[in-house]
Amino acid sequence: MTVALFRVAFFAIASLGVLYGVIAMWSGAISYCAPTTHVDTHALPEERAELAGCALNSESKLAVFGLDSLGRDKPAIVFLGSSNARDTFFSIAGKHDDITIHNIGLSGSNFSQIDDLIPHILAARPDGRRRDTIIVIGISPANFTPISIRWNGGPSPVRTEGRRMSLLLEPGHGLFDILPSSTVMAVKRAAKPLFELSAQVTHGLDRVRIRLGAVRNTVGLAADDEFEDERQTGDTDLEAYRASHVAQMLDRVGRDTTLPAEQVRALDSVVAAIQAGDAKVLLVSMPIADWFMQSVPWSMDYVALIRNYQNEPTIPVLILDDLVDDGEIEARSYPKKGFAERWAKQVLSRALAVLGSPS
Amino acid sequence: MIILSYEFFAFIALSLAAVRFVSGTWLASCLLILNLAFLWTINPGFQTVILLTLVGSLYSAATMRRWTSAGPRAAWIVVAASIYAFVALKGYDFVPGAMLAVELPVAVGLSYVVFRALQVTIDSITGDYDGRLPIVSYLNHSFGLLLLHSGPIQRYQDYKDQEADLAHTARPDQEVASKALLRTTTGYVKVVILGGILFSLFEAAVARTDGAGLRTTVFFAAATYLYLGYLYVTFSGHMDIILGLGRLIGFRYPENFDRPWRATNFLDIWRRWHMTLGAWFRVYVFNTMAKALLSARITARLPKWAIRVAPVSIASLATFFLLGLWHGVGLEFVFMASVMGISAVTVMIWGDAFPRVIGKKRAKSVQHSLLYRLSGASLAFCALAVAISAFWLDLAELQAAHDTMGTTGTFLAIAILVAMFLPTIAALLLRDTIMDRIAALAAGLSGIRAMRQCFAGIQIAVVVLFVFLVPTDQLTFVYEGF
Repeated sequence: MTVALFRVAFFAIASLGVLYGVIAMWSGAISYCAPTTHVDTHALPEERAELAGCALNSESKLAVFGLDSLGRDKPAIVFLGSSNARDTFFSIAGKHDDITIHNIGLSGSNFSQIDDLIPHILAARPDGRRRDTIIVIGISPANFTPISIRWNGGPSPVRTEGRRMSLLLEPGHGLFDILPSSTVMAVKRAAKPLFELSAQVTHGLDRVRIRLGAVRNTVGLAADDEFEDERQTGDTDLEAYRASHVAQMLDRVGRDTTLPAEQVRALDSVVAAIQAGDAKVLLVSMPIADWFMQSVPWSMDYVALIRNYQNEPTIPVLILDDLVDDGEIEARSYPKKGFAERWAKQVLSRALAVLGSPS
Repeated sequence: MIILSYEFFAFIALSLAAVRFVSGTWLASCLLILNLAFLWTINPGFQTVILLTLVGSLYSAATMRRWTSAGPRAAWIVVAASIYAFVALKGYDFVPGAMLAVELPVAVGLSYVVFRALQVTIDSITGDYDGRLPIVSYLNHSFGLLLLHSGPIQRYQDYKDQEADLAHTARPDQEVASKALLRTTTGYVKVVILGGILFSLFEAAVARTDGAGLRTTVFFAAATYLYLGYLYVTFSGHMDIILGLGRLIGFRYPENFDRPWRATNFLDIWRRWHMTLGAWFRVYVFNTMAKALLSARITARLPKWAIRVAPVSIASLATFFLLGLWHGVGLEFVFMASVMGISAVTVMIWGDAFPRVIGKKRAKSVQHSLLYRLSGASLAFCALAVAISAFWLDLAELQAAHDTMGTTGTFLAIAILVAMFLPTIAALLLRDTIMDRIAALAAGLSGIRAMRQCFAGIQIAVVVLFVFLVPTDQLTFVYEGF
């Protein structure tokens, strides 16, 4: 029996090697559709057909497997949060000579997902450079949506991505925490030809689907499912627009006025993980339109929580909302066109101050 | 999915090591530790305690006459209470008291564990089994880590002999091990790759049922067809994995599938699909009820034709109704149970009436014709596919689907479904013929063992790549929740 087991194992490893070799030789015909100098989830194409041709064709895939540029031997600022953070910090991502600025905002993220992402980010940084890393967390009330609602009780997209070959890549499990981070990153790099294969298959299937009229070519695949977010235009009936946003939110999160404890714990865990990983943290309370904030069931709790964090001497907090005029906000919490950079620069200057002079 | 978790692989490795290095009476105890540790791993905390309490109660009922003077009535009361506890724990919508358990997540393997324990307990009380019943062996039979989450439901009488042999007989040789490994890896290909593809196609078909008209009807039929295909490949694949790994450890678990497409009617399917569950219900529900009905005084007063048909039809209706309810707790499973019960009774009445109408000789020749067999199988699979739609549509959705399609559309969908099964079954029968020939030819080849090992290795490599490309969270197995 033992001989049979060893022989099967040998054939399995040999077949894997051959299959991987064939895929790796064939790969290279496809682009990663993302800058190589920094990570920017905002840079993913919005056109479905264009996106389907990308190897890392979703925000979560990019956030887990596209972190090579975080390994550069430079200080780094990493912006995390949900789509409002993503659509703010893209304006400064990659635009600094001495520091790499990464924008890894993930649509509809709650703090559980951000918590899932932190080990991947820390593992991507060179050991000697974690001290020169600041992770900026954009906070909004919607980030506190519980797992049961946000991910239907299942794992977040980031965790799902990490579970590919979970023996190696899922933080908190298997070998992720045991292996040196350089090995984890090497495994992720080795996985890229497989994504190229996957992308080619997806691309081919998508073309068939578009030809059959099953899907339209205009809808992006990249953004993980988020609140429906039809942006406000000049023709929009403002009252109806706001009412639909509020109704949509209440429909999803209910009317409980208590901030979900599970997500408060997740935020605490995010902060603790960053600090334990030797990196620095900055919490940024993102601007929220007044009309929306008033309808958030747990807004009082939210404000109290931010105040509590402000009283913590070891956790720097920036209330960006105080520095932004309500007229600059589009939809619930996004910067109007032309304001993203202004918001981002205010956060950047605080982040640089917290980061201090690089070692 | 449990079979893809490294906890599962770790426990399999430990079981193989136990069988390899532990001998004599210690082996059963060692396996018990592994079985209970695995049970705790997948049902941490209170659920394991509940399962142990339930099985412990059934064990006390099984052995009651050995250590008390209480008659079988006391034992039956314990069995009835355990069945009620099982029903309550499952959380059936329509059972009083079930709401008590609503807050508790259902333990993985609850149905399979309880049904295995019930089998030996009932046999012990009725005297059908009067051999020894050591608690270690009883618990290993109920909680066997390979059988825990999707069966098969092995009889204790068969299990105890295998467990006893395990400690004394030689380990599987290379030939047996190669076959077992090939079967296991084939199971993984079926579950992970075929199951994954069929489930994606099923989801794509479901996504296109939101409109109205012929398009919706066609996609509804396609979704129903694809779901049955998905259920078959994942379930039979699971069985390949369990039986293959079991063989590697030294167990010979009973088969749960026997080429179901060879069935000629709905009753025949249940002799070929989830066979151990079908056999359980046949022995403990159908036979008991049919016997009772046939010997009932009221039956004697019925006309001859009714005596022939009524008792078995009623028993059959009740059996398939319970079999349907075994599959789920919502009201949609009452729909499933009804479709299954009605299908079974229809086959029985047809089987009785058809030879009488056209004559026995002619009926026999018609029943042997390929067209009759194919039609019968297609109708049977259609009934099965419609019944198991309860797995993916709740009662309101079933009603909405009927409202969208209308009565004509519903019948059209059924006709499309039958038309889809007809060529599928014909193709599968043809495949059987080809594969049997290939197997016969390959059996004589000198390097067949090495080929099996090589093929198993290639299958592992392909599955590993597929698991990487499709995160395992997207792979599901419906029976895991039982």
